Amino acid sequence: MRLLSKQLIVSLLFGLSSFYSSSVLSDENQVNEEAEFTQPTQLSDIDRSGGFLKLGFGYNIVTNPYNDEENGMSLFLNARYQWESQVFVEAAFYRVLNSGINIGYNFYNTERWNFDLVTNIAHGANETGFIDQGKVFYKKSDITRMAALRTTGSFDKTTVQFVVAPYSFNDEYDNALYASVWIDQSFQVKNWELYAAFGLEYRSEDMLDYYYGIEADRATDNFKAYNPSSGIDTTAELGASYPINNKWLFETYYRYTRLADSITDSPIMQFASTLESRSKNMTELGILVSYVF
Amino acid sequence: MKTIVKNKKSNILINKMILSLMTTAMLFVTSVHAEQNEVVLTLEVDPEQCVSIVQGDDCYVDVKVTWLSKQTHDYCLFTSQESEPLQCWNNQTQGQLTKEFVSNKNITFYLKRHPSKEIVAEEVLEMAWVYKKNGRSHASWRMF
Repeated sequence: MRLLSKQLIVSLLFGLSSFYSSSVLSDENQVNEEAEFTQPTQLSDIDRSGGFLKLGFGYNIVTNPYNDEENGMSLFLNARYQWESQVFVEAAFYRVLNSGINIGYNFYNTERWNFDLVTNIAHGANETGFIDQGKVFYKKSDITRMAALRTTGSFDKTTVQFVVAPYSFNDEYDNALYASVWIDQSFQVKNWELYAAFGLEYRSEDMLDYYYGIEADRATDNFKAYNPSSGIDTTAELGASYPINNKWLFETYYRYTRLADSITDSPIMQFASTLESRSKNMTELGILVSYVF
Repeated sequence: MKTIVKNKKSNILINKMILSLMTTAMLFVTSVHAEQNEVVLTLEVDPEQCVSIVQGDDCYVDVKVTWLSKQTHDYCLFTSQESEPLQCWNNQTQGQLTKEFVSNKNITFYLKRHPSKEIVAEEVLEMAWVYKKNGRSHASWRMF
C-alpha cells in the first residue's frame, strides 16, 4: 500500500510537471498574440509581496450529511498576504476548492504559474456516536492537515489549480494522500462576470477508512463492518458578480459536491443522510455584497 | 508700522481667498468655455464612470450627454472612439443624446462648432474596475 501511494505521488508529480512544461510552451506562443491588458508581467519577489482582502456579508444556505442544514446571515472572506520572503498566509472560503486558512511558501513563479508549498485541509474533523440495539458506536476523527505542493495557472479568463498533498500532520493513521484539480472559467456578459468552476478531489483509501470505516469489532447489526476504498469527490460551482462601484461587488454562487461512492456507501453516512435537515451530498448557496480593499 | 504690515497681510489674505474661490469655481464648473464673445457652454456626461469587474474588460454603459449654450449655433458631438460625429444639432442652444457605449478605455466627448470643428467643450467618461489585471490568480488581483 505504501509503495502504491509513493508510486501514485511520483506519477501525479510527473503528470503535473509534464502538464506545466507543455502549458508553458504553449503559453509562450500565446503571449505575443495577446492584447495589452492580457500581457503578463514578470514580477519580482518584492512586486509579488502584498495583500488582497475581500470581505463579504450576505446570506448562505449549507446542506451536507455532516451537520444539520445551516442558513442565515454570514460573513465571507477571501484574503491573502505575501511577504517579501515569499511566505504567505491565505484565507479563502468560496470560489476555491481547498477552503480554509492556510500558510505557505511561494517558491517559484513563471509569467502564468505560481508554485507554492502550502498547508491544506484534506479532511475536516468528524465525530459520530449512536446506540444501535444496545451497543454503543462512537468514532471520533481529527482534522487532516497536510503539506501540499500547489501550482496555480492564471490565464485570461481561466484559472487552473493542481494540488498534491503527500505529507499528513495527522499521525493517527498512515498513507494519507490527497490530490485535487480545479478549473475556473469566467465569462463576461455586459458588466456581469459569470463563472463556472469544476473540481475533483482524490483521497486515499487509508484516509477514507480513518473517517468512514467501521472496524469489525465495532460493527453492529445496522452498522456493519465497512472498509472504504479510495475515492474522488466531484465539485461544480456556478456564480455571478456585478460591480456596484469600483470597491463593492454583488456576488452570488451555488456549489454542489458529489461525495465519492466510498464515502456515501459507508453505513455511517447512509444513516446520516437520512436524518432531517441533512443531505446525501453537499450544497451551498450564497448571496452577498462584498468590499474589495 | 505694525498696522501697515497687518493691512498688507490682510490684502494678501483677501487676494488668496479670491484666488481660491475662483479656482474652486473653475473646478466645479467643468468644461465651461468662456469665449471671447461671452458664449458659456456646459457639457455633462452621466454617469461619469463605468465600472467593470476586471481591468481591461469591456465596460457597458448607457450614457446621457447633455449640452447647453447661451448662443444659438450649429454643434456636433464627437467621441474619442470614432471620427464621425455621434449627432449634430442646427441652430440650437441645447441638446441631449442617450446611447450605450462599450469600451475598455476612457472615452472623451467633444462638442464642436460646425463647420469650424472648433472644440468648445469636452468631458471624459472614465473606465474603472474592481480587480486590477496582472496575469495572476484571482486571490491576488488587488494587492496593497
